[in-house]
Amino acid sequence: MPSRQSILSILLFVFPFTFLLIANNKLLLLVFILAAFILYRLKTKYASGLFLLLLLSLPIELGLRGGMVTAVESAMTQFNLGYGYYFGLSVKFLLVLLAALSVPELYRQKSRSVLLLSVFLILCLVQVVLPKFDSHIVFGLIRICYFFLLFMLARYSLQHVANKKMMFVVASGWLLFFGVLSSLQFLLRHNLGLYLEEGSTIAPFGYLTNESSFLYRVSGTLGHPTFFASWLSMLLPIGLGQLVVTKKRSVQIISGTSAVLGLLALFATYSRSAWVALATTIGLFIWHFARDKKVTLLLKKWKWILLGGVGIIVLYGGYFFTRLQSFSYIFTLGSGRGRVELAQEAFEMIRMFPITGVGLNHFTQTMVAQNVSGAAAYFLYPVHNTWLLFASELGLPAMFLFAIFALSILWRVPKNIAHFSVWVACITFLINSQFHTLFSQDPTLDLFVVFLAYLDTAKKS
Amino acid sequence: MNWHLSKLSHAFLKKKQRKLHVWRLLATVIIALLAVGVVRFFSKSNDYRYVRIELTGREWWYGAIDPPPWLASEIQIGDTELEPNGVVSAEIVSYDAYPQGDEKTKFYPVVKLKGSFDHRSQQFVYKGTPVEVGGKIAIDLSGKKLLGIITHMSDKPIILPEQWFHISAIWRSKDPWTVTELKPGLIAYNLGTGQEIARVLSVTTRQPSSDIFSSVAGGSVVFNKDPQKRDVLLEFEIRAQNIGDVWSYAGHQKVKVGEPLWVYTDALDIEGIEITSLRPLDNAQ
Repeated sequence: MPSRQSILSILLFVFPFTFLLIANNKLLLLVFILAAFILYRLKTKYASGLFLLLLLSLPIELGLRGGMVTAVESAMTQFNLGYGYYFGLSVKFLLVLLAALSVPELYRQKSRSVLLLSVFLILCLVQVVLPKFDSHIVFGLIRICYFFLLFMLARYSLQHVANKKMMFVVASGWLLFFGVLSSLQFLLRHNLGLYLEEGSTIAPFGYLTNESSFLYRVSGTLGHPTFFASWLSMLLPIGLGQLVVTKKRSVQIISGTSAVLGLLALFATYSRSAWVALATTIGLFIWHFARDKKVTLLLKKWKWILLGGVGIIVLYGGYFFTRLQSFSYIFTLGSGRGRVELAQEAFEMIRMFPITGVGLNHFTQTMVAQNVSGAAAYFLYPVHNTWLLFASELGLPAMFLFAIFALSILWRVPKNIAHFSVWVACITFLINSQFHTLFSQDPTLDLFVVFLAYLDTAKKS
Repeated sequence: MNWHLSKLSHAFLKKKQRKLHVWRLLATVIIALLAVGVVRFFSKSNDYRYVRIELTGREWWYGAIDPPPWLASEIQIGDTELEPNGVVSAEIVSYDAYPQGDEKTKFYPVVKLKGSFDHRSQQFVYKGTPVEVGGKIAIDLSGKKLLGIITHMSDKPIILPEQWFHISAIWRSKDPWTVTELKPGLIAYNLGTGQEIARVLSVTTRQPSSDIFSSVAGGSVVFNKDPQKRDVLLEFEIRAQNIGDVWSYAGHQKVKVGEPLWVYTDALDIEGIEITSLRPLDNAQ
């Protein structure tokens, strides 16, 4: 007779595959209600149940209500509408709200990290006294409050070892699900037509690279290939770490398959920053094992992964090198010039409003009011650097405080492999966030916050 | 010994109490800021402005600078854009729509916008974007998206001064089937208001003034009048609006002697006629 924990592990691991059956928002809600019921039947504690449901809902940005409201206004240029972003009441927002209202223990946590995050929250909330306080700022603040509460719930829940284990199970389940889904997208060269494929509404025929001979890019269920690549970058270290830690043959096979499919999916996003993050991940693992002179052990555990990687290069190496070549013309035909100009716009905003920023979700409008250059207008989007976005929209103190909060947790490199894999996942976020806007429209920052909470509690254990 | 212990415990309690004060202070500040935010958001004083917009097409790259005609049946006076809390943020108070000869229509809605006035920059801000004449604007009515350029902005509803003109014009070298259809009583309408904006009063024809190349006889070129074609002399009345101190017909056509005019009636498109004389009419007429 399998134990409750084993049943729970299996259910959590396969849960993402139910998303293949979801055809509308009502079914989405129903799946989570059923999951809550199963957790109740398995006698999971209330707060832990909320946390596990929240983990399962983390990558879903789709709102439960049909109507979405505009959080970032389109900043029109001469020729197009520009970037706009919509906000909806998603499952994860509801769960965090429920936890905030019904788990008082969240607010009894006292630590340096909570203190830093609280001060960061205060610096963000200062926006309510700004003259341009409007609904866009409100939606931004809702997201910030969500991150704060997510950290508090994750930190509280992850103090229990059982929840820590379940976090790895959920992350491994996601890796397998996204590996399978994206490998299919890649092999078929189109979206699968799932309700949860957010990219389908923006790019029904899938995304292409705008340089590199228009290669088809997979985006999983996320809104853009780069967001998906950042998300996968964070899941892969968990999968690779699991492969090293686990002794069970069956788990090794599943973890190995997940990791190989995840690698293929990451390759097929054609996100160059994610490839850099992957190289860093491998480098950090080798460095970690080299310290104990156990590199051969690592290579032995990873032999199937390495074989899979070589297989991908052999089969699709042409695409890989075509994409890599784009580095050579990144400042002419590529996105480099636009990125630099966006950064210049951000620096101008920081210079004008160093303390409070231009206001949450106000980057694009402020940018249009400034002297938008040609390349930036074409590339009209918030600055492609999460930290510069924080600095320009929230001000320098808030950005530095968030950085201090993250670095205070990441400062120490864990020795335990499981903890180390989470630490590496956080490092991949730091890399990807240098090239993308990972704040308002993708779940990467959510996962980063959960992993920070994990590491914050792991320091004690 | 006891004295030392009590001093130590006192110091310990003091430190603990100080820490407790810090947490309480943080919680109080967070709650206070949240309260300020809620109060400010829901009690915000709103400003309103009226803007007249020239709608534009979305897909500029295939020449659709003007929006398509099917928009005319979609836009209604009273159409609203709603904020997340259900409050009206934009409302169409009136609109002019003038069909064009091709598949396009000129639209000029007057929209009441809810926003706020930024005293620092002296700008009216709607949906986070400054509202300026010449600037672009996007309005999301329920189920309809309007894109355009702002032509006028005011604190009060925008009503452009109007004037009726009596016009004489010539339409050169027209084919007989066109001339047959051209009759007094043809009317052009503003599809937004349903008002008459032009009415043909009289139609006379004469031999075309222009010659056509006819044949080559003994090495010399001969020009003749085309027996099929007729020059049409038209008398009609049009309703013009004053835009930037220029009397304009159907939103963008200058009403001046020598200028070409396009009048799209329900039965016939009278295109490119030349104004030969004009006189303003008493509006009561």
